Amino acid sequence: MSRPRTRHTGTSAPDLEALFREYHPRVYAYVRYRIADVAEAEDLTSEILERALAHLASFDARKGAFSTWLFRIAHNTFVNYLKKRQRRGQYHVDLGAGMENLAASEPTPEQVLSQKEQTARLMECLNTLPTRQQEILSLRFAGRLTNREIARVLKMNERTVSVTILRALRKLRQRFVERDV
Amino acid sequence: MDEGRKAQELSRYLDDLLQGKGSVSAAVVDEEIEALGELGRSLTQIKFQPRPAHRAAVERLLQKHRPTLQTGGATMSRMIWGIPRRWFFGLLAALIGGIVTIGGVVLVVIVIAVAIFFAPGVETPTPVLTLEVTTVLPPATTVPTETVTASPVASPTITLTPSLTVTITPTVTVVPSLTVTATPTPTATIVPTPTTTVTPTVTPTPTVTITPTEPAMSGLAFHPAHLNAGGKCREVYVASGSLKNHGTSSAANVEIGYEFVEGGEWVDRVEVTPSNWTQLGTDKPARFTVSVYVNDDWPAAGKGAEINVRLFVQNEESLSGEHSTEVIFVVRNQCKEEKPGKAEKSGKKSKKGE
Repeated sequence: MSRPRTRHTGTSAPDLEALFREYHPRVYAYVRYRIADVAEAEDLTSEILERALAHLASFDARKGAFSTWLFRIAHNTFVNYLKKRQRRGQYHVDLGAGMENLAASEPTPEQVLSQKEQTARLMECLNTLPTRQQEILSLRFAGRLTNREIARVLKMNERTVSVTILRALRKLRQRFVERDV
Repeated sequence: MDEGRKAQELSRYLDDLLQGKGSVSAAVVDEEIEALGELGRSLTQIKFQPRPAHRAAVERLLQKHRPTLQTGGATMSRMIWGIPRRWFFGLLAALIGGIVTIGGVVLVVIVIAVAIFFAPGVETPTPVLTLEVTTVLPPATTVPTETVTASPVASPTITLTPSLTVTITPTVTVVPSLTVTATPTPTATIVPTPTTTVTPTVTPTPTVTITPTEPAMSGLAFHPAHLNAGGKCREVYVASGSLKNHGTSSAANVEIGYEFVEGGEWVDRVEVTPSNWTQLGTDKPARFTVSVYVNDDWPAAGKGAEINVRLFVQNEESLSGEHSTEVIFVVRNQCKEEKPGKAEKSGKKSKKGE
């Protein structure tokens, strides 16, 4: 695991196409953290990228990072999506669809299945958390944003983001253990 | 360790974890942070990979927007119609300023031109307003001439000649007038209707009011028009009447004359008392008595015989015109025929009287 190689916050003209290509999986993962349905997640990801491309003029590399700008669009689009759906369906992970657990190197089929089941449980527990905590954990672990970047996206205090992550992980761990039992 | 500090430690731990540093566990001293860090590691290891079809779709999307992407977001946002935004607004401000300046100059020129044009000393033609008014008057109204004959006794001829006066300004006023010409017969008795209203059929309808008065008499007149006497057979028949001056001034030296119309052969003499007046004032009737003395032939004249004496104004010296007034004194014989016996008796009586 490594940080994105392209971090454009300077005044030099960024390679936007490369940035979009690089951030596409992270946006997709961010969406998948919240939406279990693969096709629906893909559609929403495409919508996010299209909106970002349509509003490309609003991106100013001197004012902020590309990641902050893109994930703010993703966040707003997702909020609109939730308003349209007017529901929060229970998260059911499709175990066979695009899920990969890198922790297992040369795993046996039993190990793979066990890890997938564990991941599915973890996602289900994640989606029982309050919306704000879900949002912050998704940005942190799927979008791979730092606490400062999350604070900029959500327009909140960085320290608040840190404390929210601590509490969210505590709650997630507690629920995960309870389910495991 | 308080929550804030623990949150910071956890954030640092997760940062190291996400950056792929392997020495994170060595730095962790708090068990909870280590446990939560492990949970974070599990979340990090979950990778949702887009399917190839979705990747291809995103690639097509990027190709579609490649010109825009190559221009650059921030750079593009600073360009308006290919002109840098700063220059664009500067040019726009200059353009607006130029338009305002030119407009102001044009306005000043117009004001000066107007001021010169209307400056005093320059004769401006006085506008003359000619108003031509054409008034269409209604067609002339024809007022009929009506002739009214009074009834029942006298027949004065009343000729109505209404005239119509039409005043146009501002309203129409119709004032009908009536001229009545009456020529009464001396013996006529006129019983005028107090008020006779004739409404001529004209438009607008004028109201013609006719108020007949007593026929105008300009001279002397006998009242009543007839004098009668009869009844018992007498030697003298007497009747009273009056002569009235209807003129506007007194009559002078008025004298009544008489003549026989019928039966003068049975009359001994006629006496009118008085028969003359030196002064006869207006509207003051002068009473007189007329006495007809019959002769001896009258009783034998027979029942139904009549003596008619016409009285008339024989003389008058003050009023102008002729006096056509007259009155007929009619004496009817109603004497019974005397029987021979009675005649003898009466002869005896007369003899006794003698």
